[in-house]
Amino acid sequence: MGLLARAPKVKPPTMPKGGGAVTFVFEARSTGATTAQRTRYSIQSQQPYVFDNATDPLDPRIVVGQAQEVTLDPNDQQQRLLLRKISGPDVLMVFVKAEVFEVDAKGNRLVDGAGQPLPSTPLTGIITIE
Amino acid sequence: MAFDMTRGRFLQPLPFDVQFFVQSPVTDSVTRVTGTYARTCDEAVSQGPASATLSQGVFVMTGNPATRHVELSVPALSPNRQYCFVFTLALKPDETRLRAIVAAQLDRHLQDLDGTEASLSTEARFDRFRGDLLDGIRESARAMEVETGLRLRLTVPPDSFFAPPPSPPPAPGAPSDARPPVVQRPGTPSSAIGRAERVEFARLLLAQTGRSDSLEAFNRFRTLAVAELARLRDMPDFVRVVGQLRANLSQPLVAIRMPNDSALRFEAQPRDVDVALASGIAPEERATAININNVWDPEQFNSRVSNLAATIAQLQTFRQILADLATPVLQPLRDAAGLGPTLQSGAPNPNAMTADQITAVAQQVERVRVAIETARFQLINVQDLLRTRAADITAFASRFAAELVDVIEVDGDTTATWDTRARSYVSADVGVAWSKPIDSFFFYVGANFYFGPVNKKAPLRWSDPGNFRKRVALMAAIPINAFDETQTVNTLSSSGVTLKGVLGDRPILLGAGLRLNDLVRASGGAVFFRVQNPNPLIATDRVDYSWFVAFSIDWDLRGMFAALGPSMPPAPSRLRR
Repeated sequence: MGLLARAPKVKPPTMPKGGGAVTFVFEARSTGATTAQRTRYSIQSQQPYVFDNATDPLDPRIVVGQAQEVTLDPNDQQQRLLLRKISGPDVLMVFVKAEVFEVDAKGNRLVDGAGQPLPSTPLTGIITIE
Repeated sequence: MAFDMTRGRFLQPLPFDVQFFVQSPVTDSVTRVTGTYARTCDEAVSQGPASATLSQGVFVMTGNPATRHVELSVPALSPNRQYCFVFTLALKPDETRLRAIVAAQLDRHLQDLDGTEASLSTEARFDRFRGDLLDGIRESARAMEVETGLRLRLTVPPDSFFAPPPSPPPAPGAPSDARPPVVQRPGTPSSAIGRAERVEFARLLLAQTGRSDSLEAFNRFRTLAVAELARLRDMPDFVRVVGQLRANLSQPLVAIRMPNDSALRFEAQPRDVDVALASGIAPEERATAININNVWDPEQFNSRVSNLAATIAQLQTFRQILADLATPVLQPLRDAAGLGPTLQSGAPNPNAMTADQITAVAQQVERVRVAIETARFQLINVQDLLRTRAADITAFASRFAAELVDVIEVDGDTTATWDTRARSYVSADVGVAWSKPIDSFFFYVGANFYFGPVNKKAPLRWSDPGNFRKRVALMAAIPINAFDETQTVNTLSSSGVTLKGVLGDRPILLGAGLRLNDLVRASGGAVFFRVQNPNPLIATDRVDYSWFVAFSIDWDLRGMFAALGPSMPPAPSRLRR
């Protein structure tokens, strides 16, 4: 138990105005035994972009990644994101928010001593529009 | 032409009608020298239509020992005119200080943006941010100007993040802006911020959003830690095990495993200290603790990080003691701690705890530890991000460049003292004259009196202005040789009249001449001489004349006699800075 997440990056750091594929990368490690994480990626509603690979059919601004193992050694967790421009004023940057949850082997969120889900760790990635 | 820029004066009168070079010693801090001149200093300073710009100065090493000089070419000036030269020296500024100004402004404006970084994604907001930032930089630069007395020229690459964004023209009647403008350096002009610049700025923003994220995560896990700690305190088994350990610290087996109660120090704090404990604030520092959301100096987190590390160490030690107490092979330790099933007397122990009970406490301790460790990790991450952010800001600020500009105004003219000027009006020549009426050739030495000053070193060209001034002169000359005693002339009334000189035995030539080129002059006029009366009874002479034409070559009297005359005093000049 215990998940540490930091250093978010988007590769490549730029994207054409119409959208494109990027990979959201961050560093994660466990504070104890091997654990796992699952991350929810979202784009703020003010930003005129949606995910083409959204996992929620009702909300194209959200991608929930698969659970990935996290060990004591820092390792890069990755998620491919496909962005597409929708109608709205042009922007210079797209802010992608990630919430990293610690999960069990089944992908369910870990809970605290009161049975409530553990807090997530927020991360932000920035994509510069070319 | 020697000039001392440190004194701001010409050391000699300026030549006229001829191109010349101004040369001045300069220090290593001077990076560029440009100049303008006009008939008035106001015109020269404002670079008005009547001013002329000099080519940029060239740096040369000259003299013995060789010292650094700057040389500027000055086109031909008109004589007898007052000129004002304005030399602009670009000096190396205190780059460290300028970079600090830019970095400080960037830091401050980014701090103001804290939590709303995403708003910069729109171009209008992005430009407003840059405009506000540049305003701050220019204000600080203006303060630096006032302090140093020098002008500051701020420059950025053409597609720089720091390039001035589009702004509306100033309102009519608005006071003039005294702050130094930000000038884009030469290069491909661009109205948009370069891609590389925007990516770099996004990276800078990322460090700041990362800080916000980490502080948010810290708050979440600190809250979790406080809740888990409260749940731990609420566990009767926790209270029991702590109480028994404290009560039996002197037991040999317990003392070996736990020499003191430092592992229980976190428990000794009252409950209302738990928030401070989970925040890394020492109890005695609670009253003075600052809000970490307002902290931008990574070092200010040091005490919190170390306090949290100490608490984590206590929790780790305590958890390990609990693990030992729950281990069956260490049953004697549990008995010594007063947690075994029976007392030494053999009676049942009312404080007895099972391994499962102890393990449950250990698990809750582990929850507290993980929550606090995650919170501490986020604070360390904030420190790393703030250091990265500071380094990024410094690197970003280095794109700004500046020059300190010193303006030296010098009044100069092409005139000097009277004896110096006189040489500009009078020249000498040697030539040969022919007078047909007296059938004579003369080799003569003459003086030419011009109607305006003439610089003999200036090349003579018909296409240049001032031909009358430069070419036409009155002349007076004396032949080198006397009349031959047998030389006669036929006058209107008689023939064979003997010629005599006017000045001694020499006639004089008076007339006017025209310089055909730099050397040769054509002249004409009258040769005056005396003739003896043909009547032998009359002993008096009378002056007579006849016309002549002549060609002569300029004879540089100045070059011949310069060594005999006094040295030329410097022309008066003034310095204004």
